[in-house]
Amino acid sequence: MANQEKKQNFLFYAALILLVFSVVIFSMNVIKVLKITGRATGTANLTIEGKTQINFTIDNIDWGSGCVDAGKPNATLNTAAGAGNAVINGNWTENTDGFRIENIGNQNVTLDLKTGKNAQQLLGGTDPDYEYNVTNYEANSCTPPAGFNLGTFYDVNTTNPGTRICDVFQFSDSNDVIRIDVKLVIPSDSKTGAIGDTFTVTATTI
Amino acid sequence: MVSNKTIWVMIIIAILLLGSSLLISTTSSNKEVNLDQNKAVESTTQKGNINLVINPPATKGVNENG
Repeated sequence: MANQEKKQNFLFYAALILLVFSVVIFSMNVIKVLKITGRATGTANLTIEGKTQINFTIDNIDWGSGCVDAGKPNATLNTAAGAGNAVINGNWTENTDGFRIENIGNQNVTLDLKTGKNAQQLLGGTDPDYEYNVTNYEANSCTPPAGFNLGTFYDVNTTNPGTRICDVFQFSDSNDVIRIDVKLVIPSDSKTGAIGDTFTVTATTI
Repeated sequence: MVSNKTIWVMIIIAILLLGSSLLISTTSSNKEVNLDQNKAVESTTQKGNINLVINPPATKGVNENG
């Protein structure tokens, strides 16, 4: 009988300890939930929008008015040649800036370049040339595709979507500007009057 | 002397409380954070212009006949 009572008491105290323990745990959980009510089952959504944007920071090349020097077969206007050499055999105003394009978005992009006219359509005459040359104005801004070299003059391309000039045009602030230089060879028997053309650059997210 | 019934009631209550605690703990930690970056392919076009005026040469150039 004494043993039975001891056993009963042991079970009672064990059950009591278990009960107290469970009450403590339960209370702690309830307090925790009360403190974080409102975000216990909440969902945080954050959308970062990609922005694809480029800008011609220099968007105009204007050589003014001029003519091919008398007795010369042609004149050469080259924005990459530097002061003193940017106009050869002519009296146009030198331009040594070229175009400048900056990636002002927040994504790397590809760049395609086309023009509205080819050399014959723009200048006419005998053996005209109309070429462009892409260089990094800020180091490593443009990674060209295979077969296209930075710093080399190429004939313009009027077909859509143009020529891929950069496989990667970076957006990071210190590496996001390129320069496009233009070279014209104007024959002495070219068209006369005001002429012009448009360079169209298309940026596409990678 | 405490009865068996009392002990079993205490044990059952303890088990229920522990079970509830487990349930609360599980549901309250079910947090979700979504971070989406909109990577839709986009395209944009910008234009630059070249301009000049070509005057006839003062005398005929070598490409001109006659």
